[in-house]
Amino acid sequence: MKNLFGILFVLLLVACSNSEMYSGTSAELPPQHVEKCKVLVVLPMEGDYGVRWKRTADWFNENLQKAFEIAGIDSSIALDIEWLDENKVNLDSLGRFLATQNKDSVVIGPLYPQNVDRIAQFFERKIGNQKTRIALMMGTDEIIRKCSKQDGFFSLAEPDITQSEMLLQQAIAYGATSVSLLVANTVYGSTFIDWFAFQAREVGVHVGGFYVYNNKAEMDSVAREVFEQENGYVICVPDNYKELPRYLEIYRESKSKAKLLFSGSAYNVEFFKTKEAEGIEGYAIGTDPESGFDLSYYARYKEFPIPGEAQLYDALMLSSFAFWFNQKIANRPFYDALVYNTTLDGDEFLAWESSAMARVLKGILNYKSFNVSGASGKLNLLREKTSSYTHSVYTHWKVVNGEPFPLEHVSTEGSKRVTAYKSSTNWGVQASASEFDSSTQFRYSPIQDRYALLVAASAGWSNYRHQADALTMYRYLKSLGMDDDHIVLIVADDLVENPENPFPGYVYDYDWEPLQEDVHIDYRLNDLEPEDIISILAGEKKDGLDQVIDGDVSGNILVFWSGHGIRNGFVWGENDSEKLFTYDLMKELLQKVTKEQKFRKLLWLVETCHAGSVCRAFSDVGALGTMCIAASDENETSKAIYLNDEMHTYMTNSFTYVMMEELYKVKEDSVYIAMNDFYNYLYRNTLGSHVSVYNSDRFDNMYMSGIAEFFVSRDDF
Amino acid sequence: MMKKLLANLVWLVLCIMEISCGDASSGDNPEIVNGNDFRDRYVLVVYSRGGLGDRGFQDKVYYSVVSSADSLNFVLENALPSNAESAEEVVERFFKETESSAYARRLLVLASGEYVELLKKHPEWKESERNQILLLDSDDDSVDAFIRNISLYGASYMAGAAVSEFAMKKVAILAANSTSKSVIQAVTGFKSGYEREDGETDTLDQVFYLSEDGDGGYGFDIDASYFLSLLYQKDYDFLFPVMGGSNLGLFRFLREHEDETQYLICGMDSDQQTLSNKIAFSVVKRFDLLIEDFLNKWLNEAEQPRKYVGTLESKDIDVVASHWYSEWSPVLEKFRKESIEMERRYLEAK
Repeated sequence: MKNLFGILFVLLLVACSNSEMYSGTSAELPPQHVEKCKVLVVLPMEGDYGVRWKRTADWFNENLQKAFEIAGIDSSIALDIEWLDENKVNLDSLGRFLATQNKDSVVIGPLYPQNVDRIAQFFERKIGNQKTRIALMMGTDEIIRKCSKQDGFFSLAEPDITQSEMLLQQAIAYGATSVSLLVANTVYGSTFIDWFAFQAREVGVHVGGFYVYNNKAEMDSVAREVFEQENGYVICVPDNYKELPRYLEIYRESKSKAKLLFSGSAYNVEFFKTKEAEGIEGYAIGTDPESGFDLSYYARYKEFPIPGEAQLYDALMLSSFAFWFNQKIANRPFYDALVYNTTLDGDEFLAWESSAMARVLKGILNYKSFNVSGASGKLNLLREKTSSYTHSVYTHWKVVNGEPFPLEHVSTEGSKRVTAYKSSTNWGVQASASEFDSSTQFRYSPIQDRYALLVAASAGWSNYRHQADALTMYRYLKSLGMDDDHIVLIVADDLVENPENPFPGYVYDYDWEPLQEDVHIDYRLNDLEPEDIISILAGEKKDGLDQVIDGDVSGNILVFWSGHGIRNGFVWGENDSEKLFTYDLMKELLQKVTKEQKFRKLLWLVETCHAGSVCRAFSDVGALGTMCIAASDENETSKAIYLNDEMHTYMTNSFTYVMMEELYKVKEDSVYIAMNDFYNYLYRNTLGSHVSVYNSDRFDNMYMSGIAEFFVSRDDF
Repeated sequence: MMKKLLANLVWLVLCIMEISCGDASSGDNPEIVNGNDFRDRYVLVVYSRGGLGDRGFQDKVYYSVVSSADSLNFVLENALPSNAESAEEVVERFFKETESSAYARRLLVLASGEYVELLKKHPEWKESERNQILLLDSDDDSVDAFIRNISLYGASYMAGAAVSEFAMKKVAILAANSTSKSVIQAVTGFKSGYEREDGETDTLDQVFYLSEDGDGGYGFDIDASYFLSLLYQKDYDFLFPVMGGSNLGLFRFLREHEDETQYLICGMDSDQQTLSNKIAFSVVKRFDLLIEDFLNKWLNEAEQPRKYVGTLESKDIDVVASHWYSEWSPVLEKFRKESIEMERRYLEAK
């Protein structure tokens, strides 16, 4: 009791020591008490960047103080900003320091994706207390995918997937029939590399080619090649603006007929002043013209803001609201306080100007929350992960008379003054929602049995996740009551005693649950050839192949395959193995087991890169009762997640993780999930690749059939 | 022990009281302030739905008020309502907050003529000693407000005459609607200039309206694009667009079909030459100067007219040739006097 009062005393003394300083009327300037709130800003300072960031921050602080004065609140907060040049600071030291902070701290930046990546690794490895909250001003897909699993990060921009799409749409609007991609193979470029082909296919434009370079030495020859070969449009994605002059030099030298569109990484107002840059155009993250920020900025500085300035302003604004909320209402984790004043949906309150900020600050004192929108536009958080804002406005810019002039503003949602483009997210929703024919009806005999073939097709510690995922599925099936006689498990089995294993004798899943106990391995990977998969599923025993699935038209077979993939083949064995389970083998397999009536229904779940290039065999064969759901389409990679600092390897893969989480939920809640819902869930939640389905129209009615047919019979629920 | 507990409790009560007092003084019982404090004067500007960001005249209003707020020292609030209900709520709040407000003088700026009906709907929203209303883009003086507008007739006449001088035979007007006064002024002015007696061209009868809805047609980017995609197939020489924000759709269309389109167009409201290389000239309204002048006088409590309509003669509007169409400058200039005279007659007749 004594202690409780003591604590109360101390807390209230602090509160009162502030309020005791309040005096005078609200008209007196300046306010009597200003609480300084520390914010670390890590941004590039080269050229005029530093001047711009700092003046934007000064402008914000000025508006914030004015807001307190307008609101007539005697006390106030001010941001005490510490600046670091992201190109000069030791990012590893900074990342480690931030990840191990014991108190809530706010960091804004870095700007460049590779620098974010360097810092993110310390959060991804889950070291330290991780109380630091990092606001990112740009939205590289790779970074958002990694950081969305961490509580520490939130992005003020939607992924660059949208930018890639807009550049393609612009090329089409200009009449392009062929579009090529020239891209630096960096963290920034990875979004474009992953999405370009998929989007091109969706919008129906011919892909002239992928021209990817790994370093400056390669850049010249690769750029020259694309400029010489492409007569349509080339979407240029340099790693940063410093590569732009060389791009243009090579373009002129090659007397190219191609037309160029540039990504935001090319944006640099200093270079735009040169005659070489005149007339070039592209897209970059911008501001919603309806927020008025651009106009106010121009009125103040007689030039337009560069990409990132409005996002910096918003990050400072949101941080201030969160500080104020914590100081006056409830000391909650910083991120909760931040979310309090942003929105998942609903009406927005344009809050970046001083008068509007005054309303928010006063409102917070009265326990009112606002769905604020900011200088950059709407600030709607991603509903499920609240780690990224879902709405960004892109500016279509063109250099006219040495200045990047905004031709129009584009976003996924659009508004009165912002042109709407169909978003990739919407594609997903629309594609998956309209994929299936609800009238499909096939007659199947009753289920008598269920079998599973689980394959981890890689070996070695660096591929830990593939075996761990297969073992996770194995454990899941066993937990549902499936016995070893009905499961064929193929793994390399080199993890438990692997010299790189920091916990010899153990293999863990992504949730640190052990996997090595009571496992019956049927085959070591080395003991088999890719062709043996056909025999196993066809029930053909032979020497060294005594564990097979001898199914018939009353048994459903589930195949889960995890490993590496290249175009037209799943890799079998080590990373450099030449053994492949190819498209042709898949085709042969499907034809054989169908002809010999070895299954009632056959479902493949595949986690590999370029999975679609093999799995399209399902559609090509079109066998009744067969279907494949793959982590990636034929042109993209699937993604590993959960890099573990202690294990020094990735623990799982994005698609498998999402699938297992859903399967656990199904088991725990004993709910029936239709195949349609299962696929949609995987499609919408798998980060970094596009979950693809093959031969669904010859499988069953996707709305009527459920995943229980493969995992547990419906009667068991 | 007991003493200490008691002391803590006393502290607790005192602190709660202190906090309560602090909250109560946070603007709930304001004291009206007079003097040079920027918080003496409050200006609320309500833009039309989607009216900001289209490089039209409301962008100029915004630019002007944010610049003036710093230089002339007043509290500015910009409201960008997303729909009619929200606009009504914002204006209603302005009047409701009159009593609780600390500002000695308050100005409501309605930045679009579409708010005339709102004022008529709420006759209780009246000016007072502390509250004044400024209505832009309307010449309806039946409402209780200062009126500031700019006539489009003279500038449009000048544009029509210049187009005629270049002997452009196939010309069309694209208008947002057929009922807005400003649209009627522009259409009538351009037609009159184009059809002038000494001109090189005959009657202009190609007028297309985007919307049949009273004040509609201003925000149809995509529709405008589609509309134009049909038009461009006809062999026009010149298009005169009076569609507000919908013009952006036209400019976008022209950028994307640069090689297929033959006709020239003009920019409207502000100098829009960078939006398309087909823009030969722009009709530029100087609402920024009008409002800056108004605010200066209002803040200094100087006398000013209740109603003012800017014209070509008063230089509140002009026609500016794009830099790559400099040959249009002397031609436009040639018709300035005549246009001023025709506008004077037109406005007098009204």
